[in-house]
Amino acid sequence: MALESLERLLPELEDGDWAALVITGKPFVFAAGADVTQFPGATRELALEGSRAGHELFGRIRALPYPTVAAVNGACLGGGVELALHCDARTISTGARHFACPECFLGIVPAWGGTQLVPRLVGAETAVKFIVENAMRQNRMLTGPQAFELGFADRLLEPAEFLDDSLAFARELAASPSRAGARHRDESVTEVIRKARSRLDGQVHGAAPAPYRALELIEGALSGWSLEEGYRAEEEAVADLLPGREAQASLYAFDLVERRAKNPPGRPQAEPRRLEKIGLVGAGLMAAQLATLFLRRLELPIAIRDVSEEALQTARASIDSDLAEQVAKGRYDEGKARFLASLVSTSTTYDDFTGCDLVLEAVFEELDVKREVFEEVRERVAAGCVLATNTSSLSVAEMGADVGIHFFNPVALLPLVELVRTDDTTDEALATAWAFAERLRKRPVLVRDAPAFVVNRVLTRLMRVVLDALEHGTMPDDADEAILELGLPMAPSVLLQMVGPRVANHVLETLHAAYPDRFPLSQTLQNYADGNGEIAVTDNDPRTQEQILERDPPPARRRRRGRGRRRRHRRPARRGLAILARRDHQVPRSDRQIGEDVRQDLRMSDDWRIRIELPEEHHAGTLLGRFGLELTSDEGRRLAEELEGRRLAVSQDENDLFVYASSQTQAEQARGIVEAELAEEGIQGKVSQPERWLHDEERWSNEPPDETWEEEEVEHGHAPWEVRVERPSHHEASKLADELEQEGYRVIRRFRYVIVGTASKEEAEALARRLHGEAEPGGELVWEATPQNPFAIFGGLGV
Amino acid sequence: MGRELREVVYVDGVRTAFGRAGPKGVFWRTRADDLGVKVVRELLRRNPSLPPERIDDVIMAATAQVGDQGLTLGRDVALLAGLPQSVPGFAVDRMCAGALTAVTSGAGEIAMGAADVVLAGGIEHMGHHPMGEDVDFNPRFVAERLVDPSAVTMGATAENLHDRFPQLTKEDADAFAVRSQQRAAAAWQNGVMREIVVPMSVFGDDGWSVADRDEFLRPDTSMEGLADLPTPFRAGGRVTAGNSAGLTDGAAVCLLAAQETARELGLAARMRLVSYAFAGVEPELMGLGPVPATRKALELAGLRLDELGLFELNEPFAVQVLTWCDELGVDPEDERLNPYGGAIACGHPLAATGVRLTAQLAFGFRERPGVRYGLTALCVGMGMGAALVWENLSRPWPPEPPARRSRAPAPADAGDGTMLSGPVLGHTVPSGLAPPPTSQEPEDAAGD
Repeated sequence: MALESLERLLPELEDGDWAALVITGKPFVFAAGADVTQFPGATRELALEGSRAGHELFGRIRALPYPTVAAVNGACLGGGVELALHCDARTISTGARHFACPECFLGIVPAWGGTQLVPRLVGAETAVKFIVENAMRQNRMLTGPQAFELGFADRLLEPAEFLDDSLAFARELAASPSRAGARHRDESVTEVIRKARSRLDGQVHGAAPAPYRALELIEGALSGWSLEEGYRAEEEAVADLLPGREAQASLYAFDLVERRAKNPPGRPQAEPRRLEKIGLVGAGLMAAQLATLFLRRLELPIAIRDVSEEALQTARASIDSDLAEQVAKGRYDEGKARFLASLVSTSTTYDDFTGCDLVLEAVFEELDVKREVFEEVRERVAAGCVLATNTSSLSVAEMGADVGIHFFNPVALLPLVELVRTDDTTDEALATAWAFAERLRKRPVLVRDAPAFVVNRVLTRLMRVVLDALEHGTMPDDADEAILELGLPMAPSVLLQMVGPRVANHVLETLHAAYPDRFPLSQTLQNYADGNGEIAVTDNDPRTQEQILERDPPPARRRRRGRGRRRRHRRPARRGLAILARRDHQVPRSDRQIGEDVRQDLRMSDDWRIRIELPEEHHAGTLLGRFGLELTSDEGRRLAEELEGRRLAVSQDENDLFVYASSQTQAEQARGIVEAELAEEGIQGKVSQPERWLHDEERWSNEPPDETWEEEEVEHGHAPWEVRVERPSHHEASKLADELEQEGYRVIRRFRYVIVGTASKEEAEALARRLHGEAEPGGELVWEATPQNPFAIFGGLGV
Repeated sequence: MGRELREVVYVDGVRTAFGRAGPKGVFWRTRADDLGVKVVRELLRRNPSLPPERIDDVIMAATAQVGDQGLTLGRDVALLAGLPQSVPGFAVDRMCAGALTAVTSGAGEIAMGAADVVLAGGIEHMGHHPMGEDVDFNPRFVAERLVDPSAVTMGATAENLHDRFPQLTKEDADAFAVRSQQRAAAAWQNGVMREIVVPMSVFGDDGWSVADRDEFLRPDTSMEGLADLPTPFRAGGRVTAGNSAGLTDGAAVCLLAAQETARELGLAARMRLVSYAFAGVEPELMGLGPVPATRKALELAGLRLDELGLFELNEPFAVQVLTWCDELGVDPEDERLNPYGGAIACGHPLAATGVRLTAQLAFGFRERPGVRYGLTALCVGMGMGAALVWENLSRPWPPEPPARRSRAPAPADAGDGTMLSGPVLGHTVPSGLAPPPTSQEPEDAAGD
């Protein structure tokens, strides 16, 4: 709409005798970009045409012969940013809170000049962050002051007289002959893009095409493309992307969440019960998260009951530490936090539950236990009190709850809540649960009282496929990679740790009881749940990625080059955490160790190898192919199949070929086959004796001991050792990360965790000691030196 | 050429009974401006030596300046009260500090020499004009997060005070409320209020009746009775209907004059306005406003808090008074503080309350000739405070002046060696306009 009016106005703007042009929006909104409701089902032609029209229109604004100023008074998204960038200069309000290019989030790229003008204005680094990384981080947005700081605007102005001040600025521009200054030049574009691409790989594993395409466009913009060339490239990109599956699926999801969820189907008309007090049964990790959420969003009295006084104390400590974090962030003053803390009562009895209007149960997943809970609670509360369960899979009706309110872990972050309606759920109870979830700023979705509801049913099916692969000898890394290449944000092994294997196994049992064929039980998951990380391998028939994903193999999928070289010096996959010190408040050890145990188990299959030295490189390629495809003997075929199945078990390093085996016998067999093969081909190769991986020295037995994996890691730009520090709050973690960064350390911060890279174990240990020393006495600092495993820290959050 | 500021004295003040806002309240069928008319006419009746035409201005405060509180209320009330057409009037608004702002505006006119006699007061019919009604909050408040959302709900700001001062418990607040009710009950019993409250005939659902008693009085209030009242502003909160002032209808007005005019007209000057101050605080902690306002007013007066013998503080919420006590080091049970009870017992018709405070202070001064200085103070929505320091003219002056401190002008000898000036307004003259003034000599209040 706004663009059409702009287009109508253009002839006048182009012909008239104007001093300057100021473009602004209605109050609080500059321009929120294109109307995405037109995007679903868009064809290539439509996308091309839409992009071209924008380029044409904005190009004309850019060509106006007098100063043009975009006065960004408020929300400025996507096309709004692009419009602003086609002006000579920009003012931005300190009150603006939404300045972003969300296109990549939606599976497309900015295609009205954004990918071309943003890097020209602010450089590659900022452009990558703004267009790609912020969008891919759940559509993170900039505030006015941040946008100004990053160079998007020429003036940062107070909202009170924003337009008047912007007009004055435009007059200034009109009066002074010097138009907007030189465009930004970035010397290290290739490097910035390369790094960004590798970060992106780590995040989406190639599954989302749009951000990669955006990187190409940004790189092009700073690599000599004219603006016209850039426009054409954007048009091509959006024409490719918009009709594609990824973009269409993203738009569908966006529409669901942004539009349809606002008028959700199945929401009863009944008046929700007024909530004055909340009861929470259970004080486990999930329950403590729930209590924190309730307290912050509802600010109501909360009675927590658990059989364990210790669990209650832990829960209270976790609530208090969250409140302290809010105070540190300036969200609450201390008094408010004190008041909120005073609203929480904990007890091993239900005595405080009198007067509760809603009680949520979050105890262990045992039907009888839950049934008992609801019987007891019902005796304490008034008739209209809504009794709800947070069960992840059990029957809400059978346990005697009024309604299911199923949260997801981590509770503070995940917006989805499954509301489970049983045959007995009253409209009032459901309406109350609905209003409750909304006050918690969650997105409730109505589901039926079916085993594991929706999310866990789908997730468990996925998990079962992964477990099946593991039980057939697939390496967890490979199984993870197969799933990650679907674009899921988290590897199954990590997710499993996060959910908690006990819960996961419980859900599987529930689903198995209901659908035994589709959900066979898994001994491996049972082992994890019992705290023993052993994979119950049933046969040695590793699944390929295609098998895991249940899709046809691509015709000529090539193995990744260079993998062998990395493998040569590769540490045994993710060795155990070298835990130097820990405190008992941490989550149970069994849960957090699973990833490690899984991997220790797998290490066995990597223990042996033979090396084949070939005279010329191309022979290696030929031979590799032959191993997979041309061996004729039965033994050879078996080995070839095995090698193929393992994908990585044959590797090439220049003129050397390596064949990996899980035992010495297997390695000897392989050696025989290879020698026979070489003889048949008349290749003058040398096949080594089987070599063994030396765990303690972390090298192959025939390799000189001097070259360590650590050096190799350093060569690749990775820190071989890491010190992990947990801080009591996100704020403090950020602070520590900044400090360490200033000291020259490479630092990664995840949530409250700071991971610091060091070059050696000694250095890691020294730093760990030092950081520990900086902690307050009795504080909650946990420090560990760990060889590269930032994700293990998430282990065991879910119960 | 220089010019001297004139001393401003308070002669008399009167209010209506305070009614419960809403259809059950005694003033439900009574117009707001008629409440104002009643108190103006009563004030004139009580001061017959004042020729109405000598009134130079009628200043009336109201928070809601619409409907029966619209039409620039001071002028509206002046005409309706039968004052000569030559007497002008206007309306002011500083929410709860409306009437005190009317007083300071009038005092300004008098000190400047623009007026000799001013009527200053306030009217609030909260039944007809619920708080916040018709207020269109600027969306920038939210968009730019200029104030905490709790700032617009006064009860929520009181809860915030409890948060900020955890040592002030709900029990403290309830105890204060009980005391306020008891003191108010005693004041009604002892005839104090008969001096201040004018009975008014009002028409209601049951025909005519006389409104002569505050409707919020609950002499039987007990700690036990207060303990379990609901906390409407927050679940699990501490602010209840029992330890806050109710929504109230009422009006009050007072008579201010230049000192020499009072003498000329034979008006009994009860109090001299020594200094006043308004101050701003965080809007979500608006109840703190009187703290900086008091400090500022004391500094302007050159007085220490312990030189004040009487405090009339508004009591929108008990915790609000408690924070003032806490910050300034006054025991909430101190006999100097609200000796006749406060708004918790009588109600708080926003813009009228300030003159209720001055009227009670004037009465207190008369009962306590040994007290020389006193304070009227209250907090204001959106984070403000108002404080006025008064000098008791109902007494012979003490032989010695108070010690001089910063910013206060030097004392001057009255000539006869017995009368010494208190702090004067002289130092408020903008520099350049007048030479450093010689201090005014307040005359004694023998006529009282």
